[in-house]
Amino acid sequence: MRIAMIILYLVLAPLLGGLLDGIDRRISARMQRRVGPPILQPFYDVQKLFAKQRIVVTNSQTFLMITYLVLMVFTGCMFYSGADMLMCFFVLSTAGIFLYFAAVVTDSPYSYIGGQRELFQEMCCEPAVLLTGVGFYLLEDTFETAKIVQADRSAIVALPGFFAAFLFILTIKMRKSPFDESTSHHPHQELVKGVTTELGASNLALFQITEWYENILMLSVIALFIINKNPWSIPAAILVVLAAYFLEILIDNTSARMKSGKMLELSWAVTIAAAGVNLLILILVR
Amino acid sequence: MEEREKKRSVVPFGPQHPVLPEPIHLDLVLEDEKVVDVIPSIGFIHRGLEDLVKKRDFNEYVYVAERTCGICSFGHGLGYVEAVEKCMNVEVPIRAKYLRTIWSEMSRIHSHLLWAGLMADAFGFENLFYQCWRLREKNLDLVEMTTGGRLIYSVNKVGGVLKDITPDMQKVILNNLSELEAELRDVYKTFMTDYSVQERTRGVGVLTKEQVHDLGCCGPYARASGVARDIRQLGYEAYGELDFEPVVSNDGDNYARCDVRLREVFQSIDLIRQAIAKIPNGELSVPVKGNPDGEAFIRIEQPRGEAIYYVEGNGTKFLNRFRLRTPTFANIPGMCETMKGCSYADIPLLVVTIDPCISCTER
Amino acid sequence: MPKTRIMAFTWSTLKNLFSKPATKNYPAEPIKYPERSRGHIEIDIEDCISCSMCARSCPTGAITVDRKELTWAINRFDCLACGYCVIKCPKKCLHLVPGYQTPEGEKKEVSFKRPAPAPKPAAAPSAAPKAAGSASAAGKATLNGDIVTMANGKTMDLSKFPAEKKAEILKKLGLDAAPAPKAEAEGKATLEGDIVRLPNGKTMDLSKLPEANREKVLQKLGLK
Repeated sequence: MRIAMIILYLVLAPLLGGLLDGIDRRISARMQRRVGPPILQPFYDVQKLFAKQRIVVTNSQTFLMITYLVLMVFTGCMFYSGADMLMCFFVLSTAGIFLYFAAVVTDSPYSYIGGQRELFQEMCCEPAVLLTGVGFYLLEDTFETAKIVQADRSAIVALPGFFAAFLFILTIKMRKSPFDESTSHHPHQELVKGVTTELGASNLALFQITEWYENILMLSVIALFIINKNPWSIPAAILVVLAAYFLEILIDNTSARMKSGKMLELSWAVTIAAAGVNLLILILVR
Repeated sequence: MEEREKKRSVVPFGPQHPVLPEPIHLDLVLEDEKVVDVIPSIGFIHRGLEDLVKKRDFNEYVYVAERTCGICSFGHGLGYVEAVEKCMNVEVPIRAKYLRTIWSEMSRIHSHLLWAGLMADAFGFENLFYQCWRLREKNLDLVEMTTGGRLIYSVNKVGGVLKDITPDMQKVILNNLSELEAELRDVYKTFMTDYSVQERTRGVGVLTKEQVHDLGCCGPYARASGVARDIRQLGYEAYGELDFEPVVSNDGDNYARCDVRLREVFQSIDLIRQAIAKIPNGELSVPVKGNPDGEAFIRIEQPRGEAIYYVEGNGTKFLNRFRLRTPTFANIPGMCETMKGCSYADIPLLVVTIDPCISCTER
Repeated sequence: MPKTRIMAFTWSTLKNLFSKPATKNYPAEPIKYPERSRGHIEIDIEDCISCSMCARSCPTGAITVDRKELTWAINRFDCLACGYCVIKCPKKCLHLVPGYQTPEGEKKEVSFKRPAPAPKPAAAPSAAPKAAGSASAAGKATLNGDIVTMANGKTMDLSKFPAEKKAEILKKLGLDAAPAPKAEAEGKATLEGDIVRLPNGKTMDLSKLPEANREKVLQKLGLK
């Protein structure tokens, strides 16, 4: 069973991720009164990127990007195989460090500042992500996802604050306005392309694919709040995930980008207010 | 207290940068993400247009003057033609003056909407950027209907205008402007009240009234700091017969500049309505005989501020000298002043907020 | 203190989501240009007199006029569609019409050569008034043998008048400035078959003149 889930994740996650990315671009375009690209466009883009000539400043960048991809896939596989959720989140952070290295190893000013902002973004997300793990532990007495999905009730009933905090930092993780600090899906930001400025050809394709894996992983955590023993919870979880995704697209199209300092303030404020209060309540109720 | 040695890096901003509308180069010296010093350099788009007066006769030069810049194009054609008319003592018919005023205001609407879009883009709000430019397309359709071109109007000539705005066209203009105004209210509301936009614009790039006076800034950049100066009040063309007040704000930050420019769009729509209601019948142009001889010097209010046009003729059909002082040139010192001590994320906004038109500045 | 709202643009955005896109599907959908749109220059080549006013007035030098070859060429990629040549043309044979030059793959300049259909129709109507036929496009009177056809269509038979009166009438109508004396003042005319080429560039087709006049013209021009 575990092997099956791992293989399903390995194969389906990039496909679903790319498809969601294409739908995202199409809906965004319609919100802007444009026609938008075809839904399969992200796949065409990645295909084109692999065909381009790779020009890198140093060869270590390729190694670092491959490590980033491998660690991200590893995290997702761990998550889907039912392993310890907190371990998953730590490996996730480690993967982010490799992206930072890949950006700063080039010595380009935009890439360097983008890398710094990437670390800063991680710092903003970490509390909410870790607290999510803690919240599940307090509820189910385990970090293991395999056991959490067998719970009697959906976790969200008892963990609404954690859910709200996680949803808030999802905007940061998915690189959407107002928190698309280190790099963005749109051009024109002050750092040109930030962390991905010096990535090209196959390295950029690897970045893109890793983003798809990461998005699916983040959405899976959202789904984890909903899934329980009842098989009907799975379609319900999918609906909630799609609604959350649509909300992210809407937020992206209705906000300007905030400055990094503000992002830190807001994300920690929401985390402490929502997740922190929920945590206190859980501890008291036990 | 110990002085920590912070690592300084130099970020080359421009001339190619996605957020810049036109090429300007700034060497930004950063400590972490704080800008410590700014070293600007220009000259990437100098084309030697002022020298061309010696090779194109004064009638033909209108077409060159118009093409100094794509955004302020009508203003440049108008300023040049007015300067030559003043030099040759030509009195333009009244209908031509009204037509020029209408086109001038349409040019202002298009320029401010373009700027609003760039500003939205600079603070990362792409949706607002596209909506502003979609509204600008409505304006450009009107311009294309009346003059034949979207950005380069080619309707000015020494002595008057070349084309007329018929009563049918006037009706279409009024309808379309009403639609534009209705949609613009929503955009204006977003610029002024949205939380994330306010985070990026309030308190950023503050210039006080005294600084504006000392640095010589002009146009909406100065009016946002409380200086109520609008060159249209001099009454050139038909402005003397229209009723308006300069749009002023007192805060002097980016938020105030957004406010001033967007309110000026509403003011321009109102001015076009007044002009269309009052436009008299008459000729479009008067024949011009002879060659310009002597000097003339006029000022007009471009969308970006006060532009000064100077021509000197020597009795032949080629002018001796044509000099244009653009508003952006006057505003660049203000921009450099606001950049000192700001954070890196504010740089694109501070550049875009002066509404830079480097192609006019460098000709 | 101004108001602050979170996500103030939401209602517009959702409305946009369910509206038709504002962009046009060009080039699949052809564009309708407004009537006055300045796209490219077209010429009524029959009316052109190769005076080169357009070439001299063009700010970019996109127009080339070759008097000898009777061609009018324009480099559409250089043309700005400013319309100055249209204003300057004395024959009003240039028109600025909608429709832009489509982009092409090579950077090489493409010149659209429009040779005059035949040298005679291109040059003759505005050249010597002695050309055959009724009133020309410019509204001048024309002379055919002894019959003067006025601009308003009426005719006058000069043979009915005495010689001095004839000369007076011809002078008044501007028909006495025959190419022949002018040609003598400026240089020699040349004869090629039936075509007389005058020093000022104008041409005359002798086969259109009646037999009697042909001799007269050739004598006047010093070609006989």
